[in-house]
Amino acid sequence: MKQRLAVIGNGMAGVFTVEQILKHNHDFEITIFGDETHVNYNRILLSSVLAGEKEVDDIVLNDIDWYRANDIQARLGLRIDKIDLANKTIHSAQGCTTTFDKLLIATGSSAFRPPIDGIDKQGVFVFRTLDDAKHLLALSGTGVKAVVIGGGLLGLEAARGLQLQGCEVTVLHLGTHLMDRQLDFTGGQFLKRKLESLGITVICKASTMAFTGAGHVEGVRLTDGRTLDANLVVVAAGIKPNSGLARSAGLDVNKGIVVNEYLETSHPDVFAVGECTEFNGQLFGLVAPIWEQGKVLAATITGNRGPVFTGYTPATKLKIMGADVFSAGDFDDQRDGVECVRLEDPALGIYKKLILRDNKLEGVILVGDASDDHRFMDWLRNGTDLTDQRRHLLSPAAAAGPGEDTAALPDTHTICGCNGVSKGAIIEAVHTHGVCTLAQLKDKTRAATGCGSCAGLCQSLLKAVAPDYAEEKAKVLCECVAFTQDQLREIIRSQKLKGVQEVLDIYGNGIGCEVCKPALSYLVDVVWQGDHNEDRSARFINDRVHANIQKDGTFSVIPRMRGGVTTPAELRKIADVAEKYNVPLVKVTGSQRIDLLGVKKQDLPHIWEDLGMRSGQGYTKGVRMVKTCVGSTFCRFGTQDAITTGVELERRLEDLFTPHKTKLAVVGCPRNCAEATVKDIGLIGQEGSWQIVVGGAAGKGVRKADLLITVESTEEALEAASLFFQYYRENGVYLERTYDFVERLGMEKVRRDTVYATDAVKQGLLDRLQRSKDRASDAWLERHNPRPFQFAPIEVAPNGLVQIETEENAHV
Amino acid sequence: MSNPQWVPITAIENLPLNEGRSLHWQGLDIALFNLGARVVAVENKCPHQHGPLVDGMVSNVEGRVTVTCPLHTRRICLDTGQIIKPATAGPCVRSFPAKIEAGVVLLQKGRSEAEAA
Repeated sequence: MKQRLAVIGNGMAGVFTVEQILKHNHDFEITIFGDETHVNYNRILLSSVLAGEKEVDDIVLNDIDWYRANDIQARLGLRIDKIDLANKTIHSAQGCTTTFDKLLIATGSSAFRPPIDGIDKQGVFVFRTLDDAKHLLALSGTGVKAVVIGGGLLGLEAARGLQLQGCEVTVLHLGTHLMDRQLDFTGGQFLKRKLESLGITVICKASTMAFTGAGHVEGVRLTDGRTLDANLVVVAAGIKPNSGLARSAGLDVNKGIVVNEYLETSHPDVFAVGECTEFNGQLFGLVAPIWEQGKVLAATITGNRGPVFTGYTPATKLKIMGADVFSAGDFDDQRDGVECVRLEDPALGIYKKLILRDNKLEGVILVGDASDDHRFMDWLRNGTDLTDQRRHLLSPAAAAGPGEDTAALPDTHTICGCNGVSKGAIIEAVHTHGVCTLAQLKDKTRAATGCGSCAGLCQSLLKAVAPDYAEEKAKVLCECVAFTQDQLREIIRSQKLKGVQEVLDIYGNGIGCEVCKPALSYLVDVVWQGDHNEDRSARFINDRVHANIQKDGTFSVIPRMRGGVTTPAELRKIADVAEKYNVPLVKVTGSQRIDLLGVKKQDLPHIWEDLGMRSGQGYTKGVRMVKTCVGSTFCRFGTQDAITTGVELERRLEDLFTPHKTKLAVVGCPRNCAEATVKDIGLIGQEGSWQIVVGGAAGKGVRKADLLITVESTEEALEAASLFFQYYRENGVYLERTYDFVERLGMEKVRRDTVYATDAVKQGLLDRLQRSKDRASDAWLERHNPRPFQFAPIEVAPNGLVQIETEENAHV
Repeated sequence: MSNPQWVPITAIENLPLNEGRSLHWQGLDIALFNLGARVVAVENKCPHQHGPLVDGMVSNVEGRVTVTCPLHTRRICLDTGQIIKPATAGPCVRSFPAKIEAGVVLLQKGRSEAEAA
């Protein structure tokens, strides 16, 4: 007859152990009890759900099919409240009884709720489960004031998540510095500055006395008398093992359930694993040692008693983009016989500290840049003698190409610390299972399914060894700099990178290509609102000479003609210029402007000078034109002044760059003569109001624009258009037109984040737009201050005399 | 063979890093690129449809320094003159010996590199 194995706890530790048991020859009938109603999910990634980076489905580790396929009974939503060791039964709060032959306790831990006055008020949460995350998501949003109690790992990840949801976040921390169990004081200070630069307020030595408010929380009062406004509070004051059940059953329990090196408890048929356990006085809160326990336990319980659990080296990683933290081992530098190697770079916010004894690593702290944490972890685990590497302890030689970094690692090197997947195991997966994508690798080896921080390393290893390596391309910008555009925005902002080359040097291959360089040029411009380091070598030729290159290498010149309105004098100048420079083709464009085609590059600055008109940006990813109808100026049907409004809209937005070209139109009545309903942004006048529509297209596809809002005054209409325009600039993916942008985000979100956002958010968008506008200028003015040989070919000095082209001797 | 004659062309300051600059040289259109540690000179004509390489962006394909033709994004290796993406067996772009000396860009009079080889 089969043995009945009951597992109390459907979390990562319990289910991982069951997975390990399935790998052995076993004779169990397995039942798993979970008090949450969800299948097993990745608790480490809850903060990513809160941050909106992942959906609930993305973090599921074992879906219901897995339970069925392995003949495992899943009893979800049942809370076990009694273990009867004499009769070998367990009892649920709902009244059902189950008999077992072997029992596995994996009850995990729960958030510690300190006895603070008012902790039961509505709006005060802990952050431990998927349901907690869902509650927080429902209440967070722009303008919400959130306070996080506790500046440890979980508190900081929650703080960042809430902030990304739009909340104003303050972290209150009792200790002298953040993450005080993982960082020294200096490291804590570096982290604090990083978080503050991301917009999170941090107050240390803050002791919370009470949560105030009637029913729902309204504030947090500190013992020093200060009170902070709060609509939402997250208490992240640590975790404690869920060991009460085992204690009342009569098992040996200190803080956690006492287990030996085989994960056996004080009863021969009862075992325990995970955060509820205590081994040699150690408690557990990180996944790597727990999965080590799971493997040992699976051997023990299936009759293969032999492997032992030996404890672990504590290692922690904070997963906040731009505020990376890694800490492992003992970082106390006051101990006898240890040496300390440090690097502090306040400008970049990077702090690194290594503790060595006899040329072996004992502890490490990394703040601001934890990209090479695997190297240190390896030294620490293996006790590597570092005598030969003393010169390069903190700065490894840069890898010359993809895979070279990983090529140097031994096969035993652990790539995924969470799941204990070695380099050798990954190579084996490639050879025996034909793994060639990261998704397949995750599936076969579980590498990169824990905290996910080794994903980059797995990618580069796959790239180096898998013959059919295929990158999940949709996401990253380009092979040269393998990050998503959202990540790059965050990197550019948090690392204060103002030039394309800097981004490529630090996060890419140092060279770039015609795909990533223009995208990065756009990103540094928009993130720094024009206060970036312009690098023309990173721009397409059109943006180096402010004209559109044609099939024969000549250029087209389109002067700005706001709202499609011109004058006889302007037309005369255009005619004169066309004759003077023998322009082969003069054409009226679809955007109510005039195009001079077939212009030689060296004539460009002279033509601009003769025209005396502004650049129409007809060559770039930026504001093209605002088309208008005659409107109430002359048209007998016109209800609104389309021309004046269109000209003003163009004046406000011109000279700015956008993810892709942006075409606008303003019409004075719903007859729509200037086709506003198929433009990126359209203003449609009607009696007494304006409709603002966005995301229209009349190109390869035709898409009718969606209504953003209807407003009464012209000024409100211009403001609504500006809000959407800046929102698109800040959130659009480079080369994404507005019609893809609104479909990707959904109009509901677009409306909520622009015209229906709080006043503070709207003002922020308008302020950033204004700052960019203040720094923008007519590109054609560059004719007065050209760069060396920007337009004309180099002339070889006749007598071998070489001159440097400067402003003075450059001529127009 | 007589000693090659190097002709001073322009100060290196006139060639912004990683941007092309054009030049008429011995009856040909030449594109000069300042790649930081060195300069390269190639004929300013993409073998595909004669796009002006001087207006291309300097980039890289698997570690090889290339220029991307602005018309149809053919990527041309600046060392061999070959179109390496999309990979074709078509003709190469002619390249010319060039060097920097005392801050001055020099081109060698007479032959193209292909002929000299």
